[in-house]
Amino acid sequence: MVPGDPARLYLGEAAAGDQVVEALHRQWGLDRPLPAQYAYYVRNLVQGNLGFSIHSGRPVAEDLTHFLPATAELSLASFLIAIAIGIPLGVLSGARVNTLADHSSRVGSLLFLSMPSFWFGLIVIYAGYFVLGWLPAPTGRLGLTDVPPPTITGIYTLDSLLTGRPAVLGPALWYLLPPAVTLALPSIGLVVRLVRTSIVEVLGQDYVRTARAKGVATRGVLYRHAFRNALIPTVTVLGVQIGLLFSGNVLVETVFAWPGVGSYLVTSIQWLDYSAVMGSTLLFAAIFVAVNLLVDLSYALLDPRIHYA
Amino acid sequence: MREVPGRAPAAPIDLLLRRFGRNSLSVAGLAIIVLWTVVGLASPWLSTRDPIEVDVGARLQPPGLAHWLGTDFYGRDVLSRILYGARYDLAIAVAAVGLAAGAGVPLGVLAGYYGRLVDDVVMRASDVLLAFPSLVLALALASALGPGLWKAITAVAIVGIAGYSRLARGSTLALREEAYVEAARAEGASDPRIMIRYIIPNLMSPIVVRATLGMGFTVLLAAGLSFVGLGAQPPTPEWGAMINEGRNQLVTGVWWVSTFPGLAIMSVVLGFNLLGDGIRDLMDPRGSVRV
Repeated sequence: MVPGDPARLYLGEAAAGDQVVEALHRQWGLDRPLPAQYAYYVRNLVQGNLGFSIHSGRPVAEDLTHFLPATAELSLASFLIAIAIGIPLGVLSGARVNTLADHSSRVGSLLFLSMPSFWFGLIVIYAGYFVLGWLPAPTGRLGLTDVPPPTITGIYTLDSLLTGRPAVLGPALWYLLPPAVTLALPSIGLVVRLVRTSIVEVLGQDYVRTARAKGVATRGVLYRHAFRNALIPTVTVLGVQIGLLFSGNVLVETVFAWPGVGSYLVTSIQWLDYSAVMGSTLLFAAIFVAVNLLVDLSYALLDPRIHYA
Repeated sequence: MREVPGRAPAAPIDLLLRRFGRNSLSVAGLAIIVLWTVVGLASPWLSTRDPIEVDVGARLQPPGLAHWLGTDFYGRDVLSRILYGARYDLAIAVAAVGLAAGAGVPLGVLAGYYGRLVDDVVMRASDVLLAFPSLVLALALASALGPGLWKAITAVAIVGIAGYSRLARGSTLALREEAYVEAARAEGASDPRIMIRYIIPNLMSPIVVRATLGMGFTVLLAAGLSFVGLGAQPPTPEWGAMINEGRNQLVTGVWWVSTFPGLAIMSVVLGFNLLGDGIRDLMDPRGSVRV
């Protein structure tokens, strides 16, 4: 339940007298007309000032820099998992259409795409940590007694190697695993479906038939001729759908108490901390647009016919 | 499927239905959606308890004979809440998709029909919407609008508009050049009449496909909003909100409050995805693979 007035929420239910609330409104500029507030925000924005976060008491830009590495680490890890599992499964599925392997990987990928990742995260925590005790507690990036490595990139798994503290690498990976897998599942579903469709389509092409006629072995046909050509449509759709990953990020981070931009966004929403909400939303949009650009540029690597002048 | 032997060539719609019927997965999807719709409509008769009635004596009962899926922190029957929840979750998705298409299609048609300035304004606004990951934008909009069911529906609908406006614009650009549109114009039909009578009816089928494909995602999006406290407010038996309500008790071993609503969401979304896949295969035979 989110009440309506950030100042009242900040001051607490009982404590706030009307005068104090008004003073805070004045201080935060909430007493000014909306267009004026907006102009003020935009003027600051173009100067790189995202405003001040109510709930953390720090500039929003500083908060975002602080939380971004955790989000980057989680997103990259889950992206790698999605690719590492999704592509082989998709190729398998596409190369053996209508076999048992194909049917199970298709149904599995549809199930992955259909479940709410925040719910699955809760199930993982309940079953993996609470009942079985196999997985770490949802305490974020490390256990309560672990000491984070000195900051270079802010990505713990990388920093532990760069600063020569392999002892932290284990826990860092261990705590990264459950949220990364949870976040990866819908993407795995997506990748399997995309790769399967394009492999099937490519295998029907004339040049594949020619290769087969020349006597190229099935494996060679698949990897030399089909795979690379099947990647182009896959990458295209994946690029458009990368928003799915970022969307999942927000709720999965919240569930696993992962201290990233997603958790920060949800906390800010609950605090009615609008500068922080705007700042993190804009950051997500910037990353999203940048990733889409990278995807466009990657076509040139995959398809020698495409050149960017 | 009804087959009439020895009949003259089937009408296209019959052919489509028959091809749809042959795809057992999409029929299963349709069955899931029909089932949940019936459950939602009949929930007052199907459920054994009042979904919001607090019964302190029956708090946190595990699944059993008295409460098949257990009770939550307030002693409310989880099964009854899930049955009633079907109303909310399906209605939210239908309303949000309807609003998105209802706003997006006219905007896209206007953009495609008039071109120039209208086109620029509509399309650049769509680009802005598309620059945000959907859940992030929905969260930001819903938090600006404040908590509440209709506000969340509005937020989810706004996120969806751009997809429909782009699709409608594309179709309009092609339809605008059709001979019958030219004929209507020669007859003296006004612009609004041409758009409403001749263009919109002819671009509806890709819109319907997109809407079906988008339903599952919309259910997930709306449940996500409720999960963080925007959207449906307590004690509304909405599935995403129910998962959130059971969240804090998971670490005390109470798994049933959160688990079952999640399964409900998953089955509905799966139903829409299967159905959407089937419909897309019908519309685009190229994509359907039969080896």
